[in-house]
Amino acid sequence: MTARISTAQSPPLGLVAPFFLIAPLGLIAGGLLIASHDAAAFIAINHPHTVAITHAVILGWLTTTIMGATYQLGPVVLGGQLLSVPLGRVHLILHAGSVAWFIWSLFYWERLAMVGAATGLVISFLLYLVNAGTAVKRGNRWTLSRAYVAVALGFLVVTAAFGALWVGSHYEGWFVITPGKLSAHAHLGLVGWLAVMVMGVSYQLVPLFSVVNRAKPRFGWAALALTVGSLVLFAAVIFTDPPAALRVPAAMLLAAGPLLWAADILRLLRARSRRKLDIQGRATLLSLAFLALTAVLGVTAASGTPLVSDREPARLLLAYAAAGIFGFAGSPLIGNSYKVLPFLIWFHRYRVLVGHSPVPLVDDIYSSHAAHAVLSLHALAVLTLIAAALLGQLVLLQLGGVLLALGAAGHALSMVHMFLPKQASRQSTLKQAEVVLQ
Amino acid sequence: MNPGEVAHLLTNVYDPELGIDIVALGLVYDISVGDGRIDVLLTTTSADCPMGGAILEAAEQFLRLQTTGYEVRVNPTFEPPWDVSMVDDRARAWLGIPPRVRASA
Repeated sequence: MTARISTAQSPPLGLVAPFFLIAPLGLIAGGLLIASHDAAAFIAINHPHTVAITHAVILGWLTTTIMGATYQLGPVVLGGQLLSVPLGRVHLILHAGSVAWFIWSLFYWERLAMVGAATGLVISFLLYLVNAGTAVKRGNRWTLSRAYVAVALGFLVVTAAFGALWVGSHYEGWFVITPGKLSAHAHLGLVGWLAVMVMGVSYQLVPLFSVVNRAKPRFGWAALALTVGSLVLFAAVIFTDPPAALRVPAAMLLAAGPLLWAADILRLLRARSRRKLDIQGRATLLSLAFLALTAVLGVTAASGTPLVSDREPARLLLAYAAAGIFGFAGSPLIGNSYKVLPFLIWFHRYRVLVGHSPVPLVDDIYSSHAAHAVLSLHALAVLTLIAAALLGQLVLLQLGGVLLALGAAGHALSMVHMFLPKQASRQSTLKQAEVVLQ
Repeated sequence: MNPGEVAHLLTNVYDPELGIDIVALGLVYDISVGDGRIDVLLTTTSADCPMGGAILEAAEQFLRLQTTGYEVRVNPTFEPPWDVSMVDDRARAWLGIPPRVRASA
């Protein structure tokens, strides 16, 4: 016997759901900003327009989704209570406002506004870390997923510290933000915060939703250690703007940890009992495919001339970022949204009706067709962006942005639709009066 | 009321994530009925299943509502751990795995 299946710790729907409903706005904004970009996108990765897009997507969409998900994951899966639910609500308001302000300040390169918005972001991160960190700390036992989540939270602190320092330096002129320094900040966030979180959560969700009982994670701890070690080394190396001879091995080493994780997840998926993959399983497979592409593009981009065009040096980096951010990190977040939110809606609305009337199942709460359409459109958008960057085709890049925004709008509508009343589809229509047995 | 009737009732309680009833899934390990009491030993597909508590509560709530005059207790267990070999052919079809091969007479 165990107390691990208690329902008492589920967070309120009103805390988690707003994060999921607001997050696609970041992707819509990112998509529309890409659609309005000009040829400068292919020339400089640190162009204000590109930096605004990156932060709209990473902070507005991905980070907001992850924050909402960890507010559920902590209490429900890791078994630790949040410090405070009202604090989580304050955090969301501050986070959403600061992200919007920060994107505006980056787009127009308003340095004073950047400082103000970054300060708001740092405070919102602190509120989040105190709340989610408490849940992780109070967890029942040190599972693989809990370790990954704790490490990801640590890297969020480091990334935010670097980011705040860069913003301060832009304003005060402490030092020059070189491409290497920018890259160190970006990779600490992309790999340390986003990738580690995606990897850790997948060790929990893949066995759960694909029903994997006959295989256990084999490389989980090794992948975590390798990812953390190689990321610290990569950030230290890239910080100094090194030559390609150093960049390439550092990039290859950086790819090794996530690829080891990918091999482990593939092994788990092969051993699954639920042979028909659902939206979460398909999104995970898509993420693995994009990870392989990201690794190839990243190592290629690190190699510099002649593989990188001298005239448009940002093209390979753009393709790499699109594969990594939208494809590898973004796809599973879309897939997982169709598990996290329906679960919470079922739990808070329909659980108490069991026995009184037929209740909908979790997959009655969302449209599987809509979910797959959203994921397919997103994948098409990412492939379009990668192709556009590799070919240097601005119109294709803008089309990719439009597709991205359309997919995000569909995703947002799909999540709003989950809140409408649903009917039971497969549940028995057993009439209570006929089965009252003495 | 006998264990078979209780099992029949429990076919109306579903794993809300998988969409299969808990009897077909093989989650019901034991049912005993006696002295005005119904005891059910129930597992989940994973010890970490966030739906585990909800399934347990749903089974208990359903039996209480459907079996007037009985004290109902549904207890969780993870011994032995649930395995896909425990599911019946209806559930196997739903999961997309082939039916069991039966020995010919």
